[in-house]
Order: sequence, then C-alpha cells, then structure tokens
Amino acid sequence: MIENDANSENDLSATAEKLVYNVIPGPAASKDLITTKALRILHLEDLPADALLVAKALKKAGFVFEELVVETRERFIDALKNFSPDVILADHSLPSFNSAEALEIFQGTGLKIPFILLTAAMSEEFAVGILRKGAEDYILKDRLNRLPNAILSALEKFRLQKERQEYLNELIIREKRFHALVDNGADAVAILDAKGRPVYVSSSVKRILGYTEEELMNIDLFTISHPDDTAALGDVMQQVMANPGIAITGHTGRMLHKDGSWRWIEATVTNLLHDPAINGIVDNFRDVTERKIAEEKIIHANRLYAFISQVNQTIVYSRDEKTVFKDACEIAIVYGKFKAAWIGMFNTEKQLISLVESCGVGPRYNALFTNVHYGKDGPQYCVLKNEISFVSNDIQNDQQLSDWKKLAASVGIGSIMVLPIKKLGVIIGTFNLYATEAGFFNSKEISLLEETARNISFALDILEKERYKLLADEKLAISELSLKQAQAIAHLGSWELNYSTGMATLSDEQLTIFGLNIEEKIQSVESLLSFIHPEDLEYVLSMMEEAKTGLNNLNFYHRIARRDGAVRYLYTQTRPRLNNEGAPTGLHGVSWDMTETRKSERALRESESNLHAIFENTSEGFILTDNTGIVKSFNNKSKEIISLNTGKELSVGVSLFDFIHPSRKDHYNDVIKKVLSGETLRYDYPYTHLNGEIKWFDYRIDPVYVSGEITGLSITSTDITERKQGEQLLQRSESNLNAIIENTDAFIYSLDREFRYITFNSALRNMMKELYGVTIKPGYQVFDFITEFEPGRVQEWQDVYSRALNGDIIKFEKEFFADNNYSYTSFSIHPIWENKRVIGLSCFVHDITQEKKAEEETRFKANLLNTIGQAAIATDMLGKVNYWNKAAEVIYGWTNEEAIGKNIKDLILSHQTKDSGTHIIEELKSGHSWSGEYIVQRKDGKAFPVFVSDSPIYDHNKNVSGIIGISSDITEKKKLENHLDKVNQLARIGSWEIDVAKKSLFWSAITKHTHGVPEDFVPDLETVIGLYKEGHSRASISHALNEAVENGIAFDLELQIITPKGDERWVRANGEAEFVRNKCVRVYGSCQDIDKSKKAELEILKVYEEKNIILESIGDAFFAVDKSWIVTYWNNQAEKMLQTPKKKILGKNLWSVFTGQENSVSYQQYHLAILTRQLTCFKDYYTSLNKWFEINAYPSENGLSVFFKDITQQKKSEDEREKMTADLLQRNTVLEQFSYIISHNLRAPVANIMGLSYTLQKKDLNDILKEKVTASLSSSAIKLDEVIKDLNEILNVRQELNEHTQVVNFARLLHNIRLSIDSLIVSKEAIITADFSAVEEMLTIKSYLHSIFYNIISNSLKYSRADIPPVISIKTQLFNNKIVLSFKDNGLGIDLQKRGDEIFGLYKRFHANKAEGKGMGLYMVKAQVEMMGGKISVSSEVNNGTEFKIDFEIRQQQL
Amino acid sequence: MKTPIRFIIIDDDSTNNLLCGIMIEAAAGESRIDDFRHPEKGLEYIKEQYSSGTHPTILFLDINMPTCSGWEFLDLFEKLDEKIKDQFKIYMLSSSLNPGDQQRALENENVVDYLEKPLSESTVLSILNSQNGLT
Repeated sequence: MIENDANSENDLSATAEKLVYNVIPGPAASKDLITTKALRILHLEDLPADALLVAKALKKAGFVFEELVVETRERFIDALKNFSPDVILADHSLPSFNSAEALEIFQGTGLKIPFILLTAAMSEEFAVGILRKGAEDYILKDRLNRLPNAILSALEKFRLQKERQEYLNELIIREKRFHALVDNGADAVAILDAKGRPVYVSSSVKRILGYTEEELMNIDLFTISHPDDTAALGDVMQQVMANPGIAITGHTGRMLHKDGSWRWIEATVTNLLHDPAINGIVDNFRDVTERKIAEEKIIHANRLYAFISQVNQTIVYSRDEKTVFKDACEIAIVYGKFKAAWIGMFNTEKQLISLVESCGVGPRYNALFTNVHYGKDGPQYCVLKNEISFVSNDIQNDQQLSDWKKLAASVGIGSIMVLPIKKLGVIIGTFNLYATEAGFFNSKEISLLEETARNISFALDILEKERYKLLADEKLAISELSLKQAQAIAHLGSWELNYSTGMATLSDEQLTIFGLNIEEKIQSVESLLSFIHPEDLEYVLSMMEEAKTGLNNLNFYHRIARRDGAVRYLYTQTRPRLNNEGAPTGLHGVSWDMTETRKSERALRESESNLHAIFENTSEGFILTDNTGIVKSFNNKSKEIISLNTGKELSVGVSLFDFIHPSRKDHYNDVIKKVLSGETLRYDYPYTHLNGEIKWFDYRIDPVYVSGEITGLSITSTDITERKQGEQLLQRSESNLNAIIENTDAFIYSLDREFRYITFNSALRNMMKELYGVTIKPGYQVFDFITEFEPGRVQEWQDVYSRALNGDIIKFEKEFFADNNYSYTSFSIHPIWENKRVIGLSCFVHDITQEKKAEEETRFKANLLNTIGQAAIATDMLGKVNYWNKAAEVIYGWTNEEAIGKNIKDLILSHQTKDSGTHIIEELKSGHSWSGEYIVQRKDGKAFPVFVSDSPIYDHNKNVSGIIGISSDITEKKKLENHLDKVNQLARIGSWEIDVAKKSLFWSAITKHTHGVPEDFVPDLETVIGLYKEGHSRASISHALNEAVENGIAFDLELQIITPKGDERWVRANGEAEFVRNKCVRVYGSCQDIDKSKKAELEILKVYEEKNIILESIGDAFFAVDKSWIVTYWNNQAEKMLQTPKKKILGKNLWSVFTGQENSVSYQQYHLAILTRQLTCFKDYYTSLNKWFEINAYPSENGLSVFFKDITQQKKSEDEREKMTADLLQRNTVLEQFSYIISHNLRAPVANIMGLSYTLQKKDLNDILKEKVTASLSSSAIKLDEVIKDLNEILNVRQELNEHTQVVNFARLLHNIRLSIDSLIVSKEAIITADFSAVEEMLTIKSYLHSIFYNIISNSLKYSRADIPPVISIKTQLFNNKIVLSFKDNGLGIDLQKRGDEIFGLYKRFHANKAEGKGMGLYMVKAQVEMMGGKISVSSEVNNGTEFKIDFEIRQQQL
Repeated sequence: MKTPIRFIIIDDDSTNNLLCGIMIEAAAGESRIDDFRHPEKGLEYIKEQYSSGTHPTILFLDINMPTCSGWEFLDLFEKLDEKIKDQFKIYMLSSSLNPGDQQRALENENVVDYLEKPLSESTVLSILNSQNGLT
C-alpha cells in the first residue's frame, strides 16, 4: 500500500487514461468506481459555464460520472440526502451562501466523502482556513487540469480512510472477542517484558492463581515459582528467548496460589518481543494440578505394583535367601525408584546389625552398616522391639534420627522406611528403604511395602522348611545305606520267596553273595536253584520242601556255584511266611556266606598239631593221601584196621590201591574221582578177618582243601561191627515178640487216637470172627463194635480209653455174661508214647474165667505160662512163691522145686533193690499194679536188668491174695540203649540223668565235652548249675529243673554256659521227668553244643533287630503287607501317624481295618504299584486324620512295603504358596488390566483433551465447531474423571478384604435393591422373581453381595430385549457343600463363543448401542465374588437370555 | 496429486472423530472425510463405494471398539477384493500404549503405521507427504 502510494505520486503528471489503469491497481472497490460504476459528483456552482467546464475536464480525463449541479442551499442539502454523491465539488462564492457554509452543512451529515473547493481566486489564508475546517482540497478554476487527479487522490484517501476505519472496527470487535476468550477460557495469558515482568495479564489469571491483574502486574513470576522448579523455569525462559516466534510448549511447574497452595501450571510460552504489535513474551498457561495429581497417582501405583510384582516373582523363583535379598534390593532401586535399599541381619545377643545385601548404598557406606551397634532409640531397635515397620518421612526434623540428619542431607535422603524381616516368626533382620523425597511414604505405600516384607519373610520360611526337608531326606538315605552296609559287613544276605509267583527277591548283599548284578534282584526259583551246587541241590530242595510242608524254621548249610565257577559255602536259615489262615505263602530266608569261615576251619584242620591230636585220640582210623591216592599221613588206628582187614602194613608213600582188592579197584577209582571233584562219600563195608570174625567198617572219604583247592583225600574208617550186631539183635528180638503175640490166647491189639485198630493178634481176630461174626481189619473202629454188641456200655468204654489216652495205664477185670455163662476177662491198656505224646493205645486182654472158677485151672494156666518166654512168678501176700514158670527157671536159675515156698525177696531181689522191692509189694497189696525196669539177681548172684509187670491177685471176695509178676531179661535191650547212646555221640548229642532220690547226676562223655569239662569230671548239681552263665541262663535251668521235678514239665532250652576255661558257649539242653507213683524219680535229657549256629542265629537276629530299630526309629511311618493285604509289619511311627496301634492291625487285612477306601488315591496307587511292579510315590489326603501324606509304595514279590511321610505342614505351605502364586497371578492380571486402562481408557480422554486444547489454541474455528470442541473437551474431562474414580473403586475392592462379614438375608437384600432402582424396573415393566427357599441367608460381606446383586440385575435391565419386558429369576441352591446363586434373564444375551473370555474383563462392552455400559459392572462382580472365595460362571445365547451362576463354598460360610 | 485424497475415520469415540476431522482439514484443506462409529458400517460403506473407481483413501482405525475391534475389522478388511484394498492406506490410531498393540499393528500387512492419539496436523501432513511421494 505504501509502495503503491509512492508510485502514484511519481506518476501524477501521467495521462488520465494511464491513471485509470495505473493509479488504482489495489482495492477492487476503486476499480469498480471507475470502470463499472459511474462516479456520482455533486457540484455546487452558480455559473453553468463553470460547471460545464468542470464536466469537460473530467470527461477529458476519462471519468465516467453522473453530475448534479446545485446552486442553492436547499438543493444542496437535498442532494446530500438523496443523490448520495461520491464526491462534492463546491464553488466558493455563491449567491445565496458560500462554500464555508456548505462545508458546515456537509460536515453535519457525517458523510465520509471528499469535499473539494473550486474557486476562481483565493487568498492563501482562506485556503488554509477552509482546509482546516475539513475540505479535502482546493482547485483554482484556472487550473482545472489538476481536478481529476485531485478527485482521484481524494477518493483514494477516503477509501483508505474508510478501509482503515472498517479494519479498526474489526480490530475492536476482535479485541473484545479475544478478551472474552482469554478472560473466560480455561487458560490465562500473561505478556511479559524482556525482563520477565508482566506487562499484561488476562483476568482469568485470578481464577487460576488467585491474584488480581493489578496484583500480578507487580509480581515477578520467579518469586511465586516453586523453589524446586525455579531452575527449570529459568531454563525454559532461556530457551524461549533464544527461539523468537516459536511456541515453547508443555512446560509444567508449580506456582504459588494466592491462598498459599502450590498449583501445577502448564504453560506455552512464545517470545514475541520482536513483534512490535506485542513486544513481549506471551505466556499462555493453565492449571493442570488435577491432571498432575492423577498422573502422579498412576505413576506411583505403577511404580509400587512393579516393585511388588518383581519382588514376588523373585520370591517364587528364588531357591535361597541370598538371592531373595539381593534381588529385593535391586528391585527396590530399579522398580521401586528408591534411592537406596539394604538388608541387614541382627545379632541380637551383641545388639549388632550387619548389612548382607544392598543396592544404591555404595561401597563407602557399606562399612557403616557392618556390625554396627543399633541404638536403643534407633529405628532398627524399634523394629526389633515392636515388630512393626518404622517410617520417617522427614529425617531432618525427626528427633529419633538426629544422628542421621547430616549424613542423610549429604547423600540426599529425605525419607526412610525400615521393615522387619522374619524367619519362622522371629525377626532376623530388616529391609531398609531410602527415598530422596521427604514425605515419600504415604499410607498406601507403607501398607504395600509391609505386605512385600511379609512376602519376603514368608519366602524365607518356605526356603527354611525346604532346607529341613532336604536334611530329613538325607538322613533317611543314610539309614537305608547303613542297613545295606550292615548286611554287607556280616556277609548276610536276605531273600524272600513267593510261592504263588515262584519269584524270589534278593537283598543287595544276597546278590553280592551270588555274584549277581543289581538288575537281577528278582529271580525265579528255577534260576535261583541253578546256583545251588549240584551236589547240594537235592538236599536244598528237600529242605525247601520241608520248610513249605512242615512250616518249620530250618537252618542248613549248602554250597552255591557262581557263574564264574566260584563255590561259596552258605549257612541258610529259613522262616516260612504264612497268611492269616496259616497257609504258607512264601519263604523268608537269610543266607550267611561262611566260605571264609569255612576256609579258616579247613586251615585249622590242616594244622599239624590238631591233626595229630585228632589222629591219636580217636577210635577212628584216618588216612590222608594226595590227589593220586599216595598216602601222606595216617594214624595208628588206621594202621591197625588196615593190618587187620588186609594183613598189609600201611606206610607213607604207598598207594591206597595197594590195599584194595583187585575186583574193587575200578569202583575205587570212581570213588576217588568223585571225592577229588569235591564230594564226600560214605559207605559201610564188611571185612572178614583172618580169624573168621566179620567186622563192619564205616568209610568216609572227604576231599582235602588247601587254599580252596582239593589237594588230596582224607579217609576215615570206623569200626561199626557192634552197631551192626545190635541192629541184627534188634531184628531178632522183634520177631520173638511177634511170635509171643501171635501165640497167646490173650487178645493183644493196639488202637490209634481215634480208637481204630492198628494191629491185633490172631487170637483177637479169631475170637471176633467166631463169637460175633465180625472180621476185623486195621482201621476198624472199636466203638462201632461196642455200639453194635454192647450199646449200653459205649460210655463206659469211652471213659476207659480216653483216660488211657491221657497217659494212664489202665488195668481191670471184667465180668461178661454170655451163653448163660459168666466169663472173666482182664484188661490192660497202655498208652503208646512217641515224642512225649500218646499216639495210641496198646491193649492186652485175656480171659480169666477159668482162674476164677477153679483152683485147678490155675495150674493149667501156670502151665500155659510156662510156654511164654517171660518169667511168671506168683507169691502170696507175704512174698512166698507159689508159682514159678519155665521161663523163670531159665532167667533166674532157680528150678520150680527150688523156688516154690521160698520168699521172693531171698530168691531174686538183689542186695541193692531189696528195700524198694518191699515197697513195691506194699503198693501191690493196696491193689495197684506196678511195672518197670528192675535190677535183679540170678541164682549165681549175677545182677541183671529185667522188665517187670507186677499185678495183685484177687480171691473170690476180691481181696488181694497175692502178687503175680511177669518179668523178662532186658540185658540185650540195655545193650541196645547203650548203642543208641553211641549214635548220639556221633551226633554230638550228650545225655544226662538226675536220680532224684539220690540226688546224683550222670553226664555222658559228650555232655562233658560240650560243657568243656574233662572226662574225669564228676558232675554234681550245684557245680553244674554254676557252669551256666549267671543271670538268665542260670535262672532258667534252675527253674526248668525244679518244674520238671515238681510238676513233671519237660523243657527244651537254649542257654549260655561258661566253661571252666572261661569260654562262653551256647548249649541246648532238654529234659523230661519220669514219675513213679506221682513222684519224680528221675529227670533225664540230652544236651548239644549249638554255639556256632546259635551265634550265627544271634548275629542274624541282631541284624534283624538293627533293621527293626531302623524301621522303628525312622521318622516315617512304615508298614508292609503281603499279597493278600495282610499287614505283616507296622512300625511305631505308623501307630502314631495313622493312629492305629499294632495290635489292631498286625496280621489283619489292611482294608478290613481301613474300610471304605476303594476310591481313595492310596488304594488305587497300591494296586497300581503291585500291578506295575514299580515303586509309586504319591500324595494323599486322609480326611479322618486331617493329614496329608507323601506315600512311597514298594512292591515286592511278597507284597508291598509302604512308607508314609506326614507332609501336612509342607502341603499347607505349598498350598499357601500356590495360593500366593495364584494371588500373584491374579494381581498380575490386575496389573495388566491396569496398564490396559492406563493405555486406553485413561489415555483416550487425555489424548482427546490434548487434541482439543491444541485445536482451541491454534485454529480459527467457526462458532459451531468451537462449541463442539469445547463440549467434547468437557465430556472428555468427565470421562477421565470417571476412569480415575473407577480405578479408585477397583483398588478399594482389592484392599477391603478385611471388611467384616455378617449374615445377609437374600430376600431383604433384593428388596433394598428393588427400591433403589424402582423407576427403572417400572419403566422397563420388568418382572423379578426370587426363590431363596434352599438357602435364605449367608455369612458374607454385605456390601460385596449388594454390589453383585445390583450389577447383575441392572445389567439384565440394561441389556433387555426391546420387544419383550425383561424377566429376571433369582434363586439359591445347595449343591455339593456349595451355595449356588443363579441369576437368569431373557435379555439380549452375549455371543460367548466370540467374546466369552472377555465377559468379566475391565472396560469390555458388548452392546454398541447401549451407551450407558462402560464395562465395569461384571468386572467388579467377578472381583468381589473372588474376594469372597467364590466362583462365577456364565451361560448365554444371543437374544435368548443370560444366566450367571455364583458358587460359594459352605466352608467359607462357617468361618 | 492426481486425485484428491479421501479420508475415512473408524472410531467409536466421536470426540476423536471430530478432532481428526479438524486436523485433516487443517492439513489437507477441504477434503472428503467420512467417519464411522461402527466399524461394520464403515466396512459396508467401503464395499459399496470402492468397488468401482479409484479413490486413494487414508483410513484411520481405532483398536478398542465394543462390537468389533480394530483387529476384527482388519480381518474382515483382509477378505475384501484386492482392488478395493489397494485404494487404502490404513493407519491404526489408538491411545493404547501397549507395545503389543503396536507390534501387532505393524505386523499386519494392510496397516501402514501405528499412530498414537491424538492425531495432529503435522502427522496428517507427513502422511500426505509420504503419500505424494508414493503416488
């Protein structure tokens, strides 16, 4: 515009045409004036010529115009009004009025058009005057050529003036608008000068900072800036100054409000100092305090949750304390944004604390925390003493921390928190957190940090318990190991054989003994037997068979051959395993590898001196040869035998074959070969001596081992001629006895215990046949006979036989009536003893009718008696002999004639037995019979033993009239007995006998040897009892002997003796008493050296006991069952843990004691273990005991061994930990939800606010848009506020767990909710039905339940179908210990397939057209249900309603 | 520019749609802008309007919407004719700070970029510049 003006000035002399185009290039309006619209000129002129002249000039200049010439005042005024001129030209002098007057009138109209004076002549003075009055220009009439330009420039001037005016007006309007905006907008504006002093402030500043404009104009902004923000403000101002024209946005800082509070201000500052229109710095600022607080809250929450979440993760994943501590400190710095953190451990005894882990403390200060004494007033002491955390939010002003002030200030610490760390409930240290800011720890922070410290403590408990568990496990492992070692040291293996499976399980040591691997633990019997030495196999099999059928405990020696060929000597002891019915189910065995022992025995045998001793002190012949049969050594006896048998001389170096009869050489070769392969051979062989005598020898050929190898043979020969002869004699006497039995008229028979005939003589058989027509056979029941022929006497006979079975000898006579005749019969019934047990009866019956009838008959009878081989002697009551049969003559040497009439005492009683004989006679007189061995003498005075049966003789009046004695010589029998003694000797069984009357004691040679006394030792009771070890052994033998003598009780004892040489050894002593007339006459028995086997047995027992001790002392319960679930073992711990005493369960079926277990985990796992033959380990909860167990079930061939460990505590911790992990996971989900909210629901409105405010600031918006923007701004702010409120609510739900519970009645609750949403229900025409009959109320947190009901019901109302009124049915049910609460509606429903997983998510919405839903309700419902330990589920179909089900555990209710 | 670029905004938040309109207008001048608060309707519109002719269009797509999320929209969009799809440059416009969202957006081959709300004038300008460079 300015430039254009200059141009036109320069071109003033140019042509008018040119002017038209050149002068007016600018505003379109001027152009219009000339080109398109005629210029309207009002011309005040009284001279028409002049007027014409003017018009001409204008036309010439190219003007298109319309001209109105007026000359009067009235017309001029009229024209001004109606012509609406663009320009006025006025002649100065007019007839009626002049130009000055006209100007005045013109000015009165207010028209803004040029007024140009045209005059003929004018004084300078006048010209200046009129110009001053308002005329635009003056033109002298003689210089009219200047007129067009004058008009144009005047018009231009006026146009510009008008434009300016319009612009000004616009400006004014804008200014007003701007003021309105800045004064009423959220933002305030201040303009500062270069020094930062306000030169302008908008009135809205008062709303923001409280100061009036005037007040603020006098304040330096820096003085009301927060001291902490001053530096930043300075920086921003520098930046602003350095960047003129650029808006520096986003600076926030605190400013002091007039009311004294600090407000957060966000400013956009622009340096417009260079802009002359503003010449200042524009500071556009607004109060963002609310937003800032919200942001800080979020940042704070994020920081804390990140901290807790990280610490909890560490807790979950760490395996040791140190890691937990280290991580916790690091997390405190990284996530918790603390300045420093450290963990210290107390030494309470010395009142010291020592740093163990730290972060941010710096090595310089670490020393400060090492073994430092904690003061009585200090925070550490406070925490230790009060067991609560210590917080100081202002160190500088905290009395308690006065010592700390300086250090804290120098390192920049404002607040401190000290948290207790506990282990197993005891404070062991502290977690120290330092923050830069004062006032850092607010209540929420404190409670969350305390929770974190508790979590850390809890983790320490868990770690500690884990450590204990490891120790316990290790201990158990050691116990098991020592059991194994014990077996290994004793070379004692054990095994179990199961008859039903045919499989045997071997212990580790048993495997070692057999030379097997650990994988071969379970073997079939066949496989096991393949290891038995082939020569012992038959023996071992027979033992096993006996163990199985006889159910005996057996001990035996045998050999095994290992796979590598090595032969081992084993001593095996077996015990049958029985089921509850007593049937054998298996065999338990212990094997002792005694190869080494055996070897040493052999070595001993090799020893020269011993060999010599044996050689010379034995009646056996010994010959030792090398493995080719060359004699190396022999004893005298063998030399004697060889010489007698073969007539050859034995000497060293000769071959055995030299003594063998040529016909037997081949046989002998075989024998030697067998022995050299390890066999022992034995045989009997008769030799006929040169004197014709036949001598029997027992040969025994053993291999001789030196260092485990057979180096030769040992031949033992024993003269057994006597034994052989004895045997022959025995055979002969037996046939004699048979002859006697068969040749008597007496009925002789024997019965078994069931009274069936075993044997009977022909007399009986014939009698039965003839008299009764019965053919008796062995097995015929005697009572069958009696029942048939003497039915009335069955009872009588039963009594008799039964008494005999009880051990009495019964003799009686009986009168029978048959065929009109009386007959008399004598019965003698003896019990048959075997092994101290009556196995049957032997009966002797003979008819004595004749004796009774006639004296003469007696003689006949006597003659009869003569025929038997036994002496029969009858005397009268005084002992005078009146009968003496043939046999008596032979036995006693006295003839019948010599004997009759003599006193029996003088005839046969020897000197020693006379007194006792008298005594026997006295007994007989009173009606008793007597039988027994007795020493008598012959006529020639030689004493010999007889067996005597004495019976009284009765007269007709049944008075005793005499005595009959039947006696037989038993010298041979005695000889046989002696021989038996010898047999015993071979078995190393000694015998002994006490003569009770004489109190004398007899010991056989072996008994003496067994007791370690010399052969000439004369035993007496006192000395002998003294040999027994003091204590149990001595007391037992005394007691046993006493019992035998007093009560006839037999005994069989294993006792310890101490030989005169001081050796301790085990012996087995058994004995029984013999009674005569109820009086003990003798006690006799045997004894045996059982030292070796007993010691081995004890060793085994000891190992057993050790095993038992281990099993009994382990902290775990242990029990074992066999295949049929019979409990075979139940240790002390099992009694305690399973609360079942041994006596209640041992030997019983496990499932008969623990009933109803068929569905239990244990039941199934045990069966699984047996089925799979694999160890199973599992956990089970025993409801009745309220305990958790970890159970290991080991299947074996015999059944199952089960270990129980009580893991209730551990399980509880695990559960707690699981719960904690679940809590953590849930919390993490919550945190994720949080970040989601922050990222979307919180940020969405913030983003909108940012965008909208930017728009407001920058854009020229039209009013409609502006209104929209401001409305949106406010709705976004409201949305933001809602989200923040929601957040608050969510956080509260998570924390209000401790809210007290109360009984809430469902109906009442529903009633209250109905009231609160009554209008909604009415408007929707909703029907709500409820059935709370199953459960009417529950113990719960009322506000939660209210919220649940409210949210679900209002959801149903909100999302109801438009076409039908909503129906909501609510009911309670009781199901499986749960309260089930269900809400069912007929509303819109949800597509669960599509969105099911999101239904309870925060800010999840499903219905686009339902503006009121914001996705909080169900989220809250789920959170609250879960806080109360419940579960919520949903089922729904689109347009077909929704049903919510909520389960609450009843147990929860009982709290 | 051969053809004036069109804009489609899909977001359930009307405020955002308003803001986007303002920013687009400020950066690109008078333009054709369509906004949809329901993605389903937006998709219907696209099917109708873009099956014939060529209208280079920039589409701002929100993620979190109640009935149909931005992801679901993209899945449906993917099924459209290549001819239709070629006309679009899709920008995810979200307030989410979740890096997962951003990654997921960038992994989708129909999405050009992930933008954080609010949309600014300068962002629109740079989009346009890159658009020019491309066309």
